Amino acid sequence: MIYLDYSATTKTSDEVLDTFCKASSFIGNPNSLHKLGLESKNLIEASTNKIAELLNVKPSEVIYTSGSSESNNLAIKGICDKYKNRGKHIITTSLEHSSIYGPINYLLDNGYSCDFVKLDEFGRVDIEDLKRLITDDTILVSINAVNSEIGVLQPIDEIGRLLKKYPKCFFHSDMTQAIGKVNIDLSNVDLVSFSAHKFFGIKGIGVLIKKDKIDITPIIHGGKSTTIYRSGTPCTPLIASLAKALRLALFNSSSKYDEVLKLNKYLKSKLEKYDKVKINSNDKCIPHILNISILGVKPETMLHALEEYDIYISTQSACSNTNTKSKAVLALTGDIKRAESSIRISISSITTKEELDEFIKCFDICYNKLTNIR
Amino acid sequence: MKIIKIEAIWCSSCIIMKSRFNDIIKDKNIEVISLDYDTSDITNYNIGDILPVYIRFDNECETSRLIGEHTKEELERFLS
Repeated sequence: MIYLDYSATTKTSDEVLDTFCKASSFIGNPNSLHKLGLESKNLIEASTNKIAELLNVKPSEVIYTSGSSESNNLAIKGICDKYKNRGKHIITTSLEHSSIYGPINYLLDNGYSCDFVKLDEFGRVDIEDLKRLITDDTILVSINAVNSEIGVLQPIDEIGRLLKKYPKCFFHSDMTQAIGKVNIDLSNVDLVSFSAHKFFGIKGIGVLIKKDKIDITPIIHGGKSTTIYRSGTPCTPLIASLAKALRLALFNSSSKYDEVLKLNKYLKSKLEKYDKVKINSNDKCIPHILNISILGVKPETMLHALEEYDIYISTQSACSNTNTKSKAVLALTGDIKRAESSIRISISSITTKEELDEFIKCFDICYNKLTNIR
Repeated sequence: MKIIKIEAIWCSSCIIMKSRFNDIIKDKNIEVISLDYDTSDITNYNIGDILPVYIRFDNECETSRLIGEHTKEELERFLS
């Protein structure tokens, strides 16, 4: 099997799974007063301290959720409800995940308004347009760090520094595709979402970093958990496994990045030789994602053709609901033919050159077969 | 005039069009039926994969459709 869909999810690493299994022996509810509860509580605290240290935030700023979709919902709905008396205007981009659009759409039906900031030719936020859109009514700007389909890396620090000049306006960034892949300074971001399964962690746990100076309304109300912002019995093994996955992902991260960059360049150099292949990811994208279009070939046709060779890629973002057309590719290239024929190849630090060679060999067969039909 | 409006909660174009649509119809006497792409029965409307879809009915007959993102002016023309 050649797995090239790491941006959709990753296989849990053996070390992370081992941590999960060991932490599962901590059977106590961390909220219980007895010794077993205290042991679980201590493990959670140690994990939280580790996560905070790795991300350079405070332990009190770490909120555990079920994943990025919940983190995004909690950030957006939480801020908009808490600060509704300050204003009801939100700004976002056309390159976000559906778990950003979902809560915004919900808020639109409840008296809020939303504007989309313009993007430059690389898909990055036009800072001047962002300044123009911010009004007295703006309470939230939500911009992802890395787009899931094409891999565009946003100038998060520059946006964060700009937004510091607007104290009424909070900055949320969905960093699901960034954490564990690229190093981003979180100091100028108010709220950050991510989830463990994108960096070899376990599915079912995510985090919302919420800076201490900010308040949010919870979505899930109940008793105090690890924080007052998300109720429910804390899942000790999942929390410990997340800390482990994050530590492993950030270990040696710059050399892992360089390896992925090398693989990306190699893959790109092979694919751009094909007449009908157009490379949609640009130089401002992270190397982990290579989005291409094969003109005239439906994405799902290529996906299933490669599947015959036990090779797994993706059409659009795995969480997208539309059938064939990539909105992100359309937004970036303005070319409907490219948007209708785009596939995402996502690689990771465990991808090998041999795997890419095998992929290219099979891609060549599929390409020739599918483009000669027409 | 009656408008059947088909949107999805995850759709960014629907967010963009929603405020334009609400702005225009607030002063007009138009019956609007909102349907959800994922949860409503929309099989009879032959919807493709581009959202939102606005279907205009005059005297109970479908007269035109507006699909996807459009400027406020285009939407205004559609609804006039």
